[in-house]
Amino acid sequence: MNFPELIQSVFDDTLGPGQSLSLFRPELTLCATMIAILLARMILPRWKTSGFYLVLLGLTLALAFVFPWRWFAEGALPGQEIFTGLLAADRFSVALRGLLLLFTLLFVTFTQIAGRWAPEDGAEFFVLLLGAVLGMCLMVSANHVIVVLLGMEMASLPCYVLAGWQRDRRVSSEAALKYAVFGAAAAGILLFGMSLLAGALGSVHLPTMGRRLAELLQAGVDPAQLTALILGGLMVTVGVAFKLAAFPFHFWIPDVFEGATAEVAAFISVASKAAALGLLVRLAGAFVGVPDARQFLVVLVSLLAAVTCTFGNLAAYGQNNLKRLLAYSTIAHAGYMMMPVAAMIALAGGQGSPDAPLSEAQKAVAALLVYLGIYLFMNLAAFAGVAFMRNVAHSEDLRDYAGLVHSSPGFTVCMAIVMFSLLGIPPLSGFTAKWTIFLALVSAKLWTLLAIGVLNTVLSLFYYLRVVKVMTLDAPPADRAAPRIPLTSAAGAYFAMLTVPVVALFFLWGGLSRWADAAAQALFFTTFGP
Amino acid sequence: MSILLLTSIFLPLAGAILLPARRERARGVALLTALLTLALAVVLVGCYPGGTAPFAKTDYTWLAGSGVPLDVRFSVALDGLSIWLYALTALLTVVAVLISWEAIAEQAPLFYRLLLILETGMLGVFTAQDLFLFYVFFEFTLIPLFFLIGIWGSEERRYAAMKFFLFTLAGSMLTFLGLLAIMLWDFYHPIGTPAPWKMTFSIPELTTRYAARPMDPAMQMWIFLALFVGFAVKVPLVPLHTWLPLAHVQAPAAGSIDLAGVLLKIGAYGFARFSIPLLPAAAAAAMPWILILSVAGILYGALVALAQSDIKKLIAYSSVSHMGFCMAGLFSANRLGIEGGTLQLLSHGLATGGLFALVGMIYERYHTRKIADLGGLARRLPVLGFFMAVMTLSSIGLPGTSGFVGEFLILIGLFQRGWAETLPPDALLRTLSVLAVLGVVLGAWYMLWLYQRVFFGPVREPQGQSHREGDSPIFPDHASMVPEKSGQSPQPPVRDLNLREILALAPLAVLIIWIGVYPRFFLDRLAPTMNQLTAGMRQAETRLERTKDEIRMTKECRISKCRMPEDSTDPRFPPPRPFRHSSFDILSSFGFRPLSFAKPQAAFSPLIPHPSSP
Amino acid sequence: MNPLTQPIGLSHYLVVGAILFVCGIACMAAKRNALGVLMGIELVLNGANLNFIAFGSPLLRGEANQTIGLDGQLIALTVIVLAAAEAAVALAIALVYYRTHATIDVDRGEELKG
Repeated sequence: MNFPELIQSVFDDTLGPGQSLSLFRPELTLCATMIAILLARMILPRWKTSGFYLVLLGLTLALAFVFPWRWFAEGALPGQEIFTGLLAADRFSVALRGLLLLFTLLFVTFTQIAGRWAPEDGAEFFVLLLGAVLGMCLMVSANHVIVVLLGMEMASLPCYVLAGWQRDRRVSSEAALKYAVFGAAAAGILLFGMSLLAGALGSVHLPTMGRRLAELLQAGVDPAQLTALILGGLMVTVGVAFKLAAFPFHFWIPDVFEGATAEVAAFISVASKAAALGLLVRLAGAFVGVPDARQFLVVLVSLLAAVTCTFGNLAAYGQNNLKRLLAYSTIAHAGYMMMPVAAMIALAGGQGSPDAPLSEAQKAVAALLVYLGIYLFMNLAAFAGVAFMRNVAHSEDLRDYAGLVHSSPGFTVCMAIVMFSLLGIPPLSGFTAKWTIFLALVSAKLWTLLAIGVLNTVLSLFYYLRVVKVMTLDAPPADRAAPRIPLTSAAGAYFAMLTVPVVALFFLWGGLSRWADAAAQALFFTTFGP
Repeated sequence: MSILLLTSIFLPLAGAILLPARRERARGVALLTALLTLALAVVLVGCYPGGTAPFAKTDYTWLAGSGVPLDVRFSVALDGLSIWLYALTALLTVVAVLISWEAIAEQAPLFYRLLLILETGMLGVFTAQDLFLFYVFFEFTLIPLFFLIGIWGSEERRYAAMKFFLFTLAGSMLTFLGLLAIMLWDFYHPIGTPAPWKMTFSIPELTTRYAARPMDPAMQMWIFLALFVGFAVKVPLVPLHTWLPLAHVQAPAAGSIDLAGVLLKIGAYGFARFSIPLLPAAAAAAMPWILILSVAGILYGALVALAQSDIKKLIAYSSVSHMGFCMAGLFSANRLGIEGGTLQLLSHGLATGGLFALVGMIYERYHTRKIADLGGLARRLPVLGFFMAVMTLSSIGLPGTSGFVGEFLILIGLFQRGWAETLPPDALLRTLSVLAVLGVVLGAWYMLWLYQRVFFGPVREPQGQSHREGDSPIFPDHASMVPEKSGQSPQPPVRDLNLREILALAPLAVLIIWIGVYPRFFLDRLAPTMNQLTAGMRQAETRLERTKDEIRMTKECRISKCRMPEDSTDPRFPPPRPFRHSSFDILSSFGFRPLSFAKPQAAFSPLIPHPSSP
Repeated sequence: MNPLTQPIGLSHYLVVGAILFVCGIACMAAKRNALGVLMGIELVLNGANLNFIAFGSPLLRGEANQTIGLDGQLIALTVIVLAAAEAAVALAIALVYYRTHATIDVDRGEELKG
């Protein structure tokens, strides 16, 4: 292949019938928005809220380009590789990017209502935010080592800065420094592991790596190579576990959440988790075709999930700072969300009966998507509640929530709904989320994990209930005015709006489930063929 | 009919949502909603034809997975077991609203909202015909009750609410696993090949399938244990009862009524609906253990009740004792016992609900629940004393009241099992039966003693002021907080029950007497369903006894070197004498004739046809 | 077979990469100074870079289908850029930390307990 041919093929792939660029429009829109925000601040320095409206516009456009619903017609977008194999474009990536963009849209509105950025900071905040989202979009459609690295770094670096956004607060800068140092270390370890894997397998294209591994294991592998593979696999696990906040790499989450503002905590807790899970599915999905690797991965992911979940729930006891409590709850939920991934890996071997529209493994991924879709609203609502209370009561301490029901009954009811939903009892959508992942575990016959999951709900019972108890049953502190958040204020209305899906998704769960089923189809096209 | 049922379940919820914000209007609307629901329930009870077919069934698909053959349905219906508990719920909610009329002053609209939401939850639990739906309602009842106890309870309400919630939810997580396993075993059995049918959650369908194709016993035992934890916490069976007295004592009167009257029944209902019909072998195997626990509960509850100085606590412990009777009846594996146990659920709901309502009224008047503070109230409050007498008598099982019918049937059932139906004399069963009778005696002791201390004797009212008869008006307790010299106008005298309170209690008293004198109306309607539900367990239990018999006979034969006797030809083992088995006959004639305690028979009798079942 | 007497091959590069990695990890673990920790991270990244380049070299690996080809060098270039960005961000954060704490000793941040 000479040079002009090479150029021609790249050109064809990008703009020609391969349509790579058109499938990449959401990301391009995000880039354009970032530039537009910075330009707007230069050109129209008087217009302080330009950033917010541009972000809204950009995100709406991007969401329209992702167009989740267009691809879900039967047979549309069967799954293809774009940009010469760098990215995977399938319904899974469409769905996850859709979730991420939807979340960001809600999140931006939330920051605008709750946040107290100096107006001149607003633009930077939004640019960093969009940068992180761009990285996350890359993570969930990664098909190549270079995109994995690029996506992870692009998603992490803005988060470090966002965590330290309140420059004058000691805890904020401390949180940012810890986050940056640990995050960079984890990225370095992941990179080194990737280099070992890539070298041992002779490829940096994830599906090819999976195929090579299968060939290698069949042909017999020499011990040095096997050591490199296992070491590399473990190092990559460390990196991903760090992003997921899986035990024992969870330690940064409580610190960062306590130091950062509740808004940033919400972003890290939802978006960063969703992207990391997407990446985990991608990475695991590349290797599930290999039986030995599958067994190894099932044990690894199940163990991580069980320990993370249990640890998060146990550590949440006795937390008095609500943000810290939610941090541990985030860790526990990360554990829950890794369970369907374990189920997916376990089920990927048997590709299901041919007449079934979905293979069992894809159903497990659909369960993950259902969980994420519900978790998005629940956790955003929880952090939004904390942020609104901080604005009114200037405190994130649980004691200052005492007797909230007397001064802001509507707000308290919504908060109680969110807490009960996070706990996962019917008739709230948190139950639906847990129910779907438990069903996935059942079909994977991971009984131990199922039992651990259910028992963890019992463990988590106390601390969620404690929040509700403090808000409703305890007497309000007598020494100062009770915080008031009427539902008619912007904050209250936004909060109430977020609790609507938390309840409604329990009753209208069929739509979400169908959406997730459609999204999970053709997930493993690179591994098993379309 | 089905539209009536559907309406009655969601009417309270709609009422709760639309409740006006002002207290006076709120309670009016709440009462109206509860009354309408009750009217619908009465119509449904009136139209209930009996038999075993589900009545007033509504069935919609809720979630049918596209990829998964999941089939979650919104399906509600009534049958002989559920209809009484359903009607009881509707009735007790009216009572609860009436009781709280004056007692709840603070945030009354929220209170009535929660009460009505709770009613929807409870009605849903009893009518759900889908496993998923049942679990949803089962959990859902916790949230409103948590707030009812936690916000409007007495001093230790927070602790009580937390303990109540933690206990029940922790237990019900295991129940959740058990229910999941029931559904999955049906779908995945034999393991590896999914069944050709859908992953159904329909309770009747699962019941039929498990009757045709029982699970293997070891699996049954595990699932039974899982279900047991959640349901036994609710009932509560003895080692798991510690949340109950606390929750009862701390809850507001309306909360106690719902708790004792309905929520405890959910546990027993769960046993009767799931554990017994779906896992008959395990239920039969666990029977002695459950009987031990039940009788332990009967005695423990009664003994602890004897030592109480707080009226409410005493009644709470009496609940433990009475629920022990219900469980003993349900697990007696004897038709009479089972019918009695079911009827006792209803009777206990009425009597204890009434007792808690009365305690609430006393508390409203005197602001104390201490037995020592009160005395001779029968003279002061004759109407209250009258209702108290009815409830007390029903609670101790005086003939002519509902408690008698329930407890008597349960005891007969136990005795039949112990003496007539087990050929090798089962010492354990006999001991337990006798001990259960002891429970009745103790029950009479503590309840009558309570009545005597509080209602007879010299008039004694709070603040240590002993009033002689004809004394000046009595001041409620909070008068003591006000300095005497402040010259406040004297508080109105303690008045007897007003019309509202009488209206709240009268239906309970009427029903208690009705069940007491004419239980057939109730038994006929619940018997076919109960027979159907427990047929599997009784069969399994018979088989169990027969194998024991066979072992014994084989041993005897080996000793006497004789041939193994045939079932009916051997003169030493005559065929079971066909004794009449109808509960009503026994009740009406008080006939011990058919029971023949004297001659133990080989009573591994296959199911004896029941007069009221086809 | 003594590696020291062999002609330079793939394994030599890998050994150097591994040494860099271990040094970097040790540096991260031992240094209390934020700048020191960042240097450790750079070492780790460079160790990985060296690996990638070595794996991508057709001269070091006989069979053509076993190398990762140009991809190795591309990744190395990308990582250099990423490392620069990371360093910039981390240094900026360290500066903010210094302003609030008057030190860049990571152990002095004691207000948040993990």
